[in-house]
Amino acid sequence: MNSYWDRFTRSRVSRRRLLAGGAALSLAGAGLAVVGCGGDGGGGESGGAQTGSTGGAAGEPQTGGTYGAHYTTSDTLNILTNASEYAAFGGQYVYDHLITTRTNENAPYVLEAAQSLEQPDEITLTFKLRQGMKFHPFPPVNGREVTAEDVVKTQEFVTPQANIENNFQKNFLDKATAPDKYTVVYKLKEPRAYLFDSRILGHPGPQAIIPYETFDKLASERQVGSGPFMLDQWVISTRYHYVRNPEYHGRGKKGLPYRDATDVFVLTDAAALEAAFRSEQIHFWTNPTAGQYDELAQSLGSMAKKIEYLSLSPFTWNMNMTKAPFTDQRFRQAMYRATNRQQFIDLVWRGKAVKPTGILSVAMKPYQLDAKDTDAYFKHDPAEAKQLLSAMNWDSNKEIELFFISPNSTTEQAAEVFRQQAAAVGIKFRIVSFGLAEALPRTQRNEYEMFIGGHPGYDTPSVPMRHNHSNPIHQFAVSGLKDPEMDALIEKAEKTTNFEENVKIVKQAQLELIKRYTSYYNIVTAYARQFLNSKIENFEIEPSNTAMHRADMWFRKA
Amino acid sequence: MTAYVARRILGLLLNLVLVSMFVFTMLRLVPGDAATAILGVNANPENVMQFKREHGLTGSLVEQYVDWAGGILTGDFGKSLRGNTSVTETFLSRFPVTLEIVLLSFTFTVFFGVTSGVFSALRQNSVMDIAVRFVATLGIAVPNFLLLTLLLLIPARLWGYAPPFGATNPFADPFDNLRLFLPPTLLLSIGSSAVLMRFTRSGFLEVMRQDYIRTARAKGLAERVVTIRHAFRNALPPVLTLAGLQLGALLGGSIILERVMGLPGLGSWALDAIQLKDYPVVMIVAVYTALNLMVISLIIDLSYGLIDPRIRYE
Amino acid sequence: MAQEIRAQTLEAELFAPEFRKVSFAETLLAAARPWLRRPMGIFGLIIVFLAFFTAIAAPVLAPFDAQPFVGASLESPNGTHLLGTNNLGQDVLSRTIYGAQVSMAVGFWATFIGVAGGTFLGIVSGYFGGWLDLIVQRIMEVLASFPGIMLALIVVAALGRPKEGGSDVLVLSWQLRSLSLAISLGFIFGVMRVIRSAVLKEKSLPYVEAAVTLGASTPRIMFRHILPNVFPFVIVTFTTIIGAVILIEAGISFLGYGVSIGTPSWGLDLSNRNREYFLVAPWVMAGPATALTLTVLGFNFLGDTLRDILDPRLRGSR
Repeated sequence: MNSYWDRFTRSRVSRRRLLAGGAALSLAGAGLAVVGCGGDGGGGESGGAQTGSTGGAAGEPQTGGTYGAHYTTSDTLNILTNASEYAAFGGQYVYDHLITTRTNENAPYVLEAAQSLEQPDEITLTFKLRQGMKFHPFPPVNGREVTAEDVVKTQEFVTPQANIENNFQKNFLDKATAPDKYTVVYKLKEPRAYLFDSRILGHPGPQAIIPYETFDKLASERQVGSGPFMLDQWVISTRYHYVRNPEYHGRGKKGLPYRDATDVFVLTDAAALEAAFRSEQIHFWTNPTAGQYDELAQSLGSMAKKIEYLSLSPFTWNMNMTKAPFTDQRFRQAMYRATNRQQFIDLVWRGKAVKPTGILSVAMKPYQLDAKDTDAYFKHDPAEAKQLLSAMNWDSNKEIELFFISPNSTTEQAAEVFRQQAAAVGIKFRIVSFGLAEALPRTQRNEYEMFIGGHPGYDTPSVPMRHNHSNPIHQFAVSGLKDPEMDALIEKAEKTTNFEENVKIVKQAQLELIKRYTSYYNIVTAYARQFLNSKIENFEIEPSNTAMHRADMWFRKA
Repeated sequence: MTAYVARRILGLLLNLVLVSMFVFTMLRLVPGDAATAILGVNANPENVMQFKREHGLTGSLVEQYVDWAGGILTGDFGKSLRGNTSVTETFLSRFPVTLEIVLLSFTFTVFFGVTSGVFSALRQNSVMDIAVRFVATLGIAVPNFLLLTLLLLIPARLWGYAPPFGATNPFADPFDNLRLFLPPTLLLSIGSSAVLMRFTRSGFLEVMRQDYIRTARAKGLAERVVTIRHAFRNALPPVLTLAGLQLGALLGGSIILERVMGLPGLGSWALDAIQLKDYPVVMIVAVYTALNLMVISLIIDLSYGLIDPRIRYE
Repeated sequence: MAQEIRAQTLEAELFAPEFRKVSFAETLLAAARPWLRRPMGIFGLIIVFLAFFTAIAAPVLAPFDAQPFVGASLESPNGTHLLGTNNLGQDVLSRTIYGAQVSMAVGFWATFIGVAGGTFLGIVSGYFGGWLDLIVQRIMEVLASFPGIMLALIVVAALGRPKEGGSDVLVLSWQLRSLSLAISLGFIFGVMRVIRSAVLKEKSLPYVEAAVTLGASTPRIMFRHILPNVFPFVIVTFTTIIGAVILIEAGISFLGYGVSIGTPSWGLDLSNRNREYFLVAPWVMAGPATALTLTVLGFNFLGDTLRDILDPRLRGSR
């Protein structure tokens, strides 16, 4: 067997050891632990292993305390359809999962409800569930045992639905079965790389273990799962109060979680977030503005730890390849020449970003191209841009619509910077913004010219490479270079499960795409910025899922 | 009197129908298609049709409206397009927040507006009068989103203090709830109480120049009796009308307050829903808001009779 | 024909004011006298004049263009950039000056539409009464049943957000028409009520009756006879609501649903993009915040003073 994930079993590096080597905070790639880390990676029963902390954590875990987090608005409690729910609320606290994804070359997942995962061949995944796990003691489930049947039924429930992100169930999965009470088998249609991607097997939504009794009332009734916390009180889109689940042993360890409760607040205003963090109502502040991050850190002083690392979220533009002038390669080339990536970094991110060498986020280390191979294509050269435009008789009075999804002040500023850069070479852009409801149908109906904006964090090339494919599968239906050669290469990578081989193809595809001045262009990779209250120990940050702080952290008492 | 009230209520119902028709038509003009937006790209035309049927989005505008209005008569305001949850339920969970904001800021408005107006009128052209008027004029001019930002940031930076976010239930924890609601509603009321203050002041001054006040004084009544029993009572009705009108402004201000403070009221709900074409949500908020304003204005009109027995309803 | 001319002559004789020779200086003095006792009114007048002047002459007054990145990022106030620069290196002073264009354009036109519409409906429905009055009242009550900002958000969403890009205040006024219309709707009802009640009073006065007897046409009576007499109310409502209109526009832009990105606007420049720099660069908000507050303050002072002078009901109450 020479699978994509083979080397993990080969190396069997525990995540703990990996991180003990130095959890340098601004390091790209590896899952970050501020101090210490989560469970054992690599597969196989490991016996928990959280207690003795690493990386300089202060002593034995202490119990108690209420952890506060924040997130944006949310409409319902339905973990399957509501992205906020699976990204931050119930998906991280109430529901358990077989595994959770880690952005780590050597250990791409951590076992949770599964105590082992075996891959007898390239299209079979066999999960053994931990025994004696129970759902929360609320009706209609009333604390019954968690069995393999629950996993299978969830997969079957998800497959035919339209408004669920079910790429795995629709395109990867052939059949999910439960040969016995504690065994789940996923049979795939064909070998697939990127299997443990945070949007595939690591998806906190459709991969959650949901008791089938609750399927028809997921939206409004109290969530019942088997995760570390139980939903106690909630006001939709305001505040969610979760209390410790004393029966939780999702990682094979009784006694977790250490803290008593979790509060998640819905706060979107920058001023409100700052006030909430300073008054210690929230303990983890994700992505405070880049503009004054260092100054804020200074003013927060010893109450906060600063956590910075290269983000997995690309900041891109998408040109509509079905419309002129983007179909003309000379025009796209002129756009590349007009773009001054350093200016984006300086003005919009105040230095807290870097220039990628290829299509993918700089944080995806193994996939990075050599800068000297691509520098020529990314060169900022307004004079050459003007030449290219005049060669194609570009009419500088023509206006192109550049849209972004509002409200988002970073994108708003980036769009403004880009407009100025384009204007300097004689391309006129008009910036428009739409709310999500108008933006998505527009892209689907091909009613747009160019889009600029950030994306969620992608821990494998799966989604970002698909954006260059004629069928992106994902939300921006009509982006993609529309180049059959490229399509074939991207598909080939998706089915190449050997890691080294996969990296090679993805690199080759990136280089080819850049040479063709592809329409999906990663302008910058920004640094993710966070503040963590300094009383918190053993806090693990997973770059592809920053809301994942589930069971292991604890409060240092004064 | 009874006939008058009945007629007013009938008019109110007619207005509600018109309000709902207006909003309904407006929302249909908003570009974009809610069904596609919500279902995502994976949806096939069949899914989209099914979604549209479920949410009453098929047929002509008139058919859709009749469908919606028919639901209302049975107490069913439909389901939110995004969440697929009953908007009535969400409405009931969110409306107390807006109600508290509006009640508190309205109380502040009336209290500060009327007292400072009367105070200012009684000490016409004194230093205090000028100071109060200056503060009032400034209060109208400063945008409330600026004040709210400062309200959050200054105590947080100086003392690490912030109100307890999420304490939205006044019965569960009244103290925390007031810490969260009192300061911003006080700020919100500055503008509207300033409007009311200026109006009260000029109304009061005008009444004080009337002959019957002179007569009352000439009879040797104590100044306090003159002020309260004679002047105040006569100056009150127009002030009440204006206070009712301020309610609309406070409801509008509530949208910004909810946005900034992260409070889950009707305003922030409607704000998102307007952009997302989630029309059942906008409809219920619009109809509720309209009903609110109309009922208040009816109550105010009726209260005239209590204040001034000369007023007759026909 | 002859009859009509006769009627007009008679009308002119009947309603001609007493003529008395007055010098221009005297007229000016008479007009200025009530102002001299009201320094706040003069202050308001100056501010309002400055605001309009700034909006019209922005391209001349502003040291830089509002949108290009003319300086380094976040320069504190200095000799070249008197109010500093924002994070993009745009000149804050210039953006504040150009920001007057949006506020004044929307402020003026929304108020104009609201007051003109309200006055027209007020006169028509007050003069005719009956079922026309009822219908107008009903429709207006519908519009008045929403908080102004919510009505404006719904209407802007329906009409589409403005796509503006001019630096000329007249061009901008036209481009921002949907926003102006959306905001104005919330004010028509209030204006109409004031004008209607004034018209009801005027209607019973002898001059209207005389005009009717003389056979003047109805539109003529409404707009030549009654309108000039209720005009003080029109002026007063105009100056009273324009401040509120400017604040609503700022509120909508603050929420991100108003003017489009990049356009210098006080509301937009006070929104998150600049609030994010509150700790490091408070000056980026100082300009638009001061300008917005001062302008609204100026309009309110002017409105108060005008009401004081023009509104007969309140005359002498101060």
